[in-house]
Amino acid sequence: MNISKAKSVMIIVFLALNLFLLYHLLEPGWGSIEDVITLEERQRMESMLAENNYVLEAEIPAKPEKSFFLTVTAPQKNIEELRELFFGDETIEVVEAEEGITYTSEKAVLFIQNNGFFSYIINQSQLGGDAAEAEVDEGEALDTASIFLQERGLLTEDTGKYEVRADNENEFTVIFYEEYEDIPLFSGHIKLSVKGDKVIEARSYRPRIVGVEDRQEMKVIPATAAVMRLIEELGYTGEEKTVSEIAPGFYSREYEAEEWEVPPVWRISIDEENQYYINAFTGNIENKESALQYK
Amino acid sequence: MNTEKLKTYILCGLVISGLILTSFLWYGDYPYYEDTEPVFQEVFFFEEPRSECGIVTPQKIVLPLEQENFTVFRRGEEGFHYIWDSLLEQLGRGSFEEQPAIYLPEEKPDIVLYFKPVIFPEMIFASDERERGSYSRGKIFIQSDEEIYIFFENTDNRGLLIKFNGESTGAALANITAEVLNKGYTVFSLLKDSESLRENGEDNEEGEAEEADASVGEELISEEDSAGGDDSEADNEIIDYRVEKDIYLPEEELMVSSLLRFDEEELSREDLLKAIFVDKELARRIAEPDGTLIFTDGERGLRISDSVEYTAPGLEGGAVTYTYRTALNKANEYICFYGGWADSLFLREIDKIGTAMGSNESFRGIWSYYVEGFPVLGERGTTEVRFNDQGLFYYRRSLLVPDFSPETARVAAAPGEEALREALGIYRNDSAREDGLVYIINDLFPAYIIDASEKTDETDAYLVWVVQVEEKKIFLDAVNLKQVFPGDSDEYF
Repeated sequence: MNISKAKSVMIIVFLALNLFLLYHLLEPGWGSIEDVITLEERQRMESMLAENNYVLEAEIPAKPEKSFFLTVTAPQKNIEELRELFFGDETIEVVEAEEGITYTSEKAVLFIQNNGFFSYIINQSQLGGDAAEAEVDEGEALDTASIFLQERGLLTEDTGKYEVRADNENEFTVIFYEEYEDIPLFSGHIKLSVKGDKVIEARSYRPRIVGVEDRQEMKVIPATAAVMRLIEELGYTGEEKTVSEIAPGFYSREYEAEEWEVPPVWRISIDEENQYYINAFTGNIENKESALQYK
Repeated sequence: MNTEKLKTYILCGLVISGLILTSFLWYGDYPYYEDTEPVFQEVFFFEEPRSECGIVTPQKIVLPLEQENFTVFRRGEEGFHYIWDSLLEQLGRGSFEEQPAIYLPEEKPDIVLYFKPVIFPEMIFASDERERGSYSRGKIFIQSDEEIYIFFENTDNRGLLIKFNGESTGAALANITAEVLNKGYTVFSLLKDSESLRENGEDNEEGEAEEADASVGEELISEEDSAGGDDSEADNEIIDYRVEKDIYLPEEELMVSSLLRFDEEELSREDLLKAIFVDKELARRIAEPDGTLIFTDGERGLRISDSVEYTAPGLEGGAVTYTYRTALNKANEYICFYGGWADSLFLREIDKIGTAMGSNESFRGIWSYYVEGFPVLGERGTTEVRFNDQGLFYYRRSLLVPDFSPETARVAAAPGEEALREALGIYRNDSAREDGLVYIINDLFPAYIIDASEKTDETDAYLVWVVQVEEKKIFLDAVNLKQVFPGDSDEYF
């Protein structure tokens, strides 16, 4: 090979290399997690976890880097519609109280609270023995829950993300969250308890999502910072615990309000049981006084 | 240039740029979250805190007259501000020195100042930093054109005598009081104990004890004087009382506005948000069905309806190591920073509350508007702050501003003595105590109250007599002396 040809080849090779390097510089998200959250940040978090006897088993999400307040309104409280959906023509007893209204039939109890929360609980003595003992897996439990909601028109188009958790043998908890632009609203959900191939309980609190109103996007704290903020609050744990999940979403507590703004959060699960919501703007723990437990 | 040379240059260029790009990747920091300059929001506050001499004003200024008579100027009255502002101006010049109490003049004082909250003399004397304690009363003796004595005293018999020398200070004060008196005044007298009244009644053969005072606690009460109804029998009985503080009651009929109307203070919501939240963009908004707006960042909350209410629960439960004087200055800062301190709003009291062991302690300050000398009381009409060493954790600001020139009809209020008699009867019946006891009268004054039970679009207040018999406060309509129940906790009265 003569020098001229060699030069041509080298030019092509280096040109390709330059293009490759340029692309990698301009699109950092294309890289691995180590490219998007600095090593220093990760090391600080891991060090803090270790000092407080926590182990990280969750993946650290790289996004989002910016977010906004989500505006929601109070859940619709279609009392008659819900009564119709759950009881149809059944004979029911009605009790009205200060906090809400309760419908009771032979098979179930439906309580609709004034703020829009409702719970539907089956009278388990009415369940057939076969139904309760049917062996099901997570997938089947999810199907049972989905069908239950679809039959009652409660699986709406803004319901997306779901979670399935095994409680005991043949008993599962299935949660469907509302979503906005594929980001879950953790405080807007319907939670179902499935036993065998039957739904035995449904609890729902679903504010209506309005969207983003007159608010600009703002920077959020990285997931690593959210984890450190939580560990700082929880402190040292005697028994080793696991950070089992870190997920972005929206969350606020319930309000007796017409309309309110919901902040973006990092949801951090400890041992797959306790869930904490860290405000992604401020780092405050939104549910400081209570942790959502699935048990 | 021939082709080979061009190729060489291109190749060199690509090699160099490759090295440069590689170094960017190798050494460059990729915080995924942009490393931007921190944004420092300008600290916003409504107004600068007042100077110390503007924090505490006397509750009343009394000018002794002849024959155990007085005239009284209360907060909100024109004469009051003229005297007080002039006094402050005089005390801002000249020199002073502390004197032994034996030099206290024997004659009666020319001006008496009653302070609640208590005053620290160094707050009103310019260039005096030495701490001399707090006092609830100040007596001014004008000795000459240049010299005055001020005797500060307290209920625990502590006293501080100050001799003040200033160019024409004495003359100026004498002229000011004369000027005020020349404009006309109402004569007041001190409320006496029931025992004193009976003694006066026995000593005076012609029975010339003042009719209004004599009606109280006396056995012989005319039927015309009795309040009538079911209490008529109680009215005729002797109810002994003792007066614990100086209570001045007008000798003449008290003409008052039958109703007090209010306007809403215009306070910029945006300014409030900027003042309270470091970054107001981080505060989320909650709209309640009744139109109330709440803003919170998870640690602090601001609620805006017909009042402004701020809470920071995380700061509660702390201790207080401030001195009382520091607490006065802190209260001054908080109200000025978060909304401002209007001239017609007065600090009515500031107290340390909470447990004695140091935890969960706080200072509480309460402000009221004064209309024609009478305070506007009740939760809806007052402004309150609570704070500890950690900072302000509660602030409620009434947005109701009274009409200071009410145009409603003037009516005659019932005499204070009759209000006292009525209140004593109520207290005795309610407390079911034995006959023959002596009741302690801790306070008696007229005030406007906004009824907490009525929340309509029109906010009105009406005048009542507030009678504190021992620890209980009794409220009587100032015109018909019927008992009223404002519905708020006693701390707002």
